[in-house]
Amino acid sequence: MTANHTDDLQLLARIKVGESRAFDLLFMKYYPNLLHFSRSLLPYPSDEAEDVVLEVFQQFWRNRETINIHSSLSSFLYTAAKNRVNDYRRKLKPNTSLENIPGDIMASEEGPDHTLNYKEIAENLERLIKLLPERMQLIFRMNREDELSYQEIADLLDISINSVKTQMYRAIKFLKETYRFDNSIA
Amino acid sequence: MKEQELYLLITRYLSDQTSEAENAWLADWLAADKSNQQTFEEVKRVWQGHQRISDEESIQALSVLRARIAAGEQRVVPAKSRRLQFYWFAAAASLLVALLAAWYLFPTKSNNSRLSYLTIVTKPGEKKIIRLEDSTRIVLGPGSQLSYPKVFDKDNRTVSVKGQAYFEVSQAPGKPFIVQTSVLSVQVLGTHFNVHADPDQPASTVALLEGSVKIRLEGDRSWLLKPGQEISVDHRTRQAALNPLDSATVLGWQQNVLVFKNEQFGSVAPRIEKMYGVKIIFNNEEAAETRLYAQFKDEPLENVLSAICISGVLTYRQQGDTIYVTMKKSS
Repeated sequence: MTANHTDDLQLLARIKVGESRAFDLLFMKYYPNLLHFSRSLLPYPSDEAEDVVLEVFQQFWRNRETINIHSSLSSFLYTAAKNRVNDYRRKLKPNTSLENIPGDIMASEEGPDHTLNYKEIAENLERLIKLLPERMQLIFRMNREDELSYQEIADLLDISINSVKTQMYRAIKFLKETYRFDNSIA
Repeated sequence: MKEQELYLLITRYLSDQTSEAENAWLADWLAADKSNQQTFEEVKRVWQGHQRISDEESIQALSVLRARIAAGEQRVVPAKSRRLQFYWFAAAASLLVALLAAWYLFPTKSNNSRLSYLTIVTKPGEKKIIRLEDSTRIVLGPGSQLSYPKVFDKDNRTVSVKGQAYFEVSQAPGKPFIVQTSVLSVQVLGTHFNVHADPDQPASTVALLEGSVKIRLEGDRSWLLKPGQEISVDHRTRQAALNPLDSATVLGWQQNVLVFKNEQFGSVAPRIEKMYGVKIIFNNEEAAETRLYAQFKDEPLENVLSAICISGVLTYRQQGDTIYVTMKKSS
């Protein structure tokens, strides 16, 4: 388990007993990326993406006591959002989007302690990430921030695992080169 | 190994998603060449240096979500178990409301002659903590006034405020807590909130951070405010407008925070006067029209004034409790 997954499991445990603060934290963590993801699946311009994501969280809260997550929390939320987008597209009444649960994602041992203060670097990088093309940015954030595997991203976006890898590579290469360039002139 | 695979291997390694064999390969590769270490460090820096940054949009969306959840629970929960719908708010710990209202329009409500009222007044620059008989806690801000009954009526708890106050209302089922002004009344459906009523403000404002309040205006107009919203009622026209709230501006006074967002010096001067107990006099109109963009937290008055004047065009001079501000004439 990575540190992020451990955090998520703790959040989930607190949400299950009705702690709304934990639910707020979960929302703040995943809302922006889930919104980008939902927007990417819906025709532009659309206000439905906001609704989709809010409904995912609303239903998550409503079903908090019975929710059973076999994969990661992030993968669960993305899948719920995708199902709900599909409901919208079919113009069906949204119903059981939270039932469909993806398989286990790669689990590994506790990661190293990343407690260094990266605030400044983080801000610089965030600025650079925003320069990435939208699709590439989405994939980068799904992988880096929400720790979805290449396969999970490929499934969610209906693209090949190779194009996920290519996009990831280009994103990292861009960030690496640009960050180095920025800092060599500073 | 191609550069693409290499970069992805490094990031997977940093996310603890590599196999033993891959780790071994990576170790060999690192040992092989100094430039490899350099590449590794650069990828590591962009990978680990990145942090998710939450934004205003998420906070706004969260407010909407909370309101929806509250509304949804209200719909499904029968009236008998109304307390359930407060579960969410109780867990959320605080209900925060800010209210700005005009004192000069505010009559002392004594429609219930059985109740004898107490009035507490603070001087400019002074704050007081008051605890009511129902253990509601109130922090009364500078230059403010609070009136409340010595003993609450049996069906409601009604108080009135001039100036600013922060409320932590104790729960009392069947005994709503109400804050009254001449232009509106606020019925609190939760626990904590903040009130600001000021004679120098052109409007009354109620801002809700969490929980639920009902705003009632004369002529039987009423609004149920959603978290993250702010309602302003113009004192002259009595027009009401809904806006997203700004928590730093609304609640900042408690920590002696001043926030000026591209506002004219003349329009923010009353806030400075209240907080520091001074009087500000503008020697020329241009000085009052100067736009300020600044934020101060618990700073002495000297620091606030010199920061405002450091931008170059203004000078100030203090004489006792009076501050004279002048626009420098460009020669």
